Amino acid sequence: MQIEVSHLVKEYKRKKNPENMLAAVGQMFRPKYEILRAVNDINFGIEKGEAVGYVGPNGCGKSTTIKMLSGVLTPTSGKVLVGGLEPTKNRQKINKKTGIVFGNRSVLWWDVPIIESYKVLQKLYEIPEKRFQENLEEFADIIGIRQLLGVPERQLSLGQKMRCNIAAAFLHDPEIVYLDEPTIGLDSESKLRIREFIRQMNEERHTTFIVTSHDFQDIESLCKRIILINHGEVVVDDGIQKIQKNYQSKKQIRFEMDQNPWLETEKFTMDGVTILDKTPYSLVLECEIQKVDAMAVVDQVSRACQILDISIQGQDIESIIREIVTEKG
Amino acid sequence: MERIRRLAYGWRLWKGYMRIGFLKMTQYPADTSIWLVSMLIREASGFIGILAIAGVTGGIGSWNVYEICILFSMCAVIEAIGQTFFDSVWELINMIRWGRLDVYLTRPAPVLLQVLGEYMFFQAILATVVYVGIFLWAAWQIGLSFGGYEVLLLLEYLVCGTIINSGIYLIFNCLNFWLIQGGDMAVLVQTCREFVKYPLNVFPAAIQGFFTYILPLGFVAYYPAMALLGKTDLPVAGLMPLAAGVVTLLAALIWRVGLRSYDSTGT
Repeated sequence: MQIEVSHLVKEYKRKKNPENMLAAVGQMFRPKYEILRAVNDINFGIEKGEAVGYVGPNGCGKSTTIKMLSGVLTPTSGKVLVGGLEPTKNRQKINKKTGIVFGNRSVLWWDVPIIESYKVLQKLYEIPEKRFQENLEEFADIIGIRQLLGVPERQLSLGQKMRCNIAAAFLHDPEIVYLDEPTIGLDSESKLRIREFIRQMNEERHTTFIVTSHDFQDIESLCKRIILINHGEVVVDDGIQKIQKNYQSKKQIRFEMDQNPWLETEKFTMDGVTILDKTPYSLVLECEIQKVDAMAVVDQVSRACQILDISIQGQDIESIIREIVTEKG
Repeated sequence: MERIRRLAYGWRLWKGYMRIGFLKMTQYPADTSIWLVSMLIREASGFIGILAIAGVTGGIGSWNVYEICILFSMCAVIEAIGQTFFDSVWELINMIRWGRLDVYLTRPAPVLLQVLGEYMFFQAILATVVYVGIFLWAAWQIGLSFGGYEVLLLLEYLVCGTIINSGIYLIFNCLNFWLIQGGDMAVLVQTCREFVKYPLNVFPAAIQGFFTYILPLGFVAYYPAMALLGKTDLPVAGLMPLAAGVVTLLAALIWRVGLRSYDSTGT
């Protein structure tokens, strides 16, 4: 196990909101605190080379966990082991083998050309010159930063900046990389390039990834496993395909037909099936898979009219996760 | 062995940061020249004021005009060195507020080294040149001779003075770890520092004592200047490292405790 988390808890002390002005003045001298449990008894393990999506709604404890893994925050209780070591006690040692990408913040120097920032990182991580040049050469084309190396960061667009930051996180051949919202605010071209690069690093170098993102396309295209947390607790921890299979509750069927027998009615003739959309020549149905078999629905429709075309779609992972969160929240 | 390796690592990294600072200065030539002119006017105004007073009264206390020039320039040189290499301590408040310390904490180098290396301000080196010029001119006017003792004393003053000055700034900027507006306290200290540009013995004993024992800014320029000019019997050469050592220990302690209590803003 490369990363081991057991019974992890993190509590924050937060000043209580005073009820009135008098209380506000009183609190200047004797502050009242309330305890906030951001992470509540979390357990998981991650093997080398795994790519894991760490997801959940805003304020659910995602960032707090990542910060404890990278040694920025000390756990209130419980245990974190990265490569067999405790991050807070071996911070510098572990950091040398990890990389981190903050989607909302650049780690490069704003005023100087990108390559100069990389040279400082080379010294910081003590990257041998040969390895540094090889990596630079390889990344320059995959993520498309060759033309950007001589340009100061302040003159780059958001997408270009992010690409440079992502390459920066890989210069020292990290074994683990944390990606915190790596594609936030980017156009689709930049997103694609970044995903492609990360996937390549995972396949060729077996770099372990933990990705937190609200963009489920990121998660779906990069990760095989999802850890969903909510209110500081792990709700689901499983493979994406398994989650899709186990939690899938609805399917969408779209028909094209010569004429629509349900054009005038509101309800479909079977239980557990609802009509989402209809025109004289098409029909979109949603069926709950516990109650009704999709093939039976198709059968029913084909008896009433002539089907010209048909497509069946499962729920995407984003809506499945949304349903789990609202159900268990 | 490991310690030497770490030291060499720190030095290589520091050189990297210096390179960034130097490149920054050359990136903005217009800014650099504007800053230089405004700095010269600002410092000159203070300087001319004190010279005018000293010119009318013939000196301040037992200090004549040239001796005051020496004290003034010695005080300014230390501040300029601090501005060049250690000005980032003033950015600590923003680093804490915007969570930039998180970035440093996820890297394999000491956090303080990364904080200090973040901003170097090489424009201030130009200021140093001006102050050294004033110092040499005043020293020549009163016929100060430079033997081995004086040179060693000056070197000691440069090292210890910088440590004391920047160390005190660091200590007070560390208050940002606990207070929302801890920077105000540090600015207050910097304002108090105006006192030590003048011969401390013209002030009441309480102020002298304050800048000797509580906030030892007197050791930045006043005591070394007295030693250089032969105005005191105090063993200044021995007291300076002592004061620097105490400040270093305190700064290191407060930094450690502060960093431990740092809970990054929850984004």
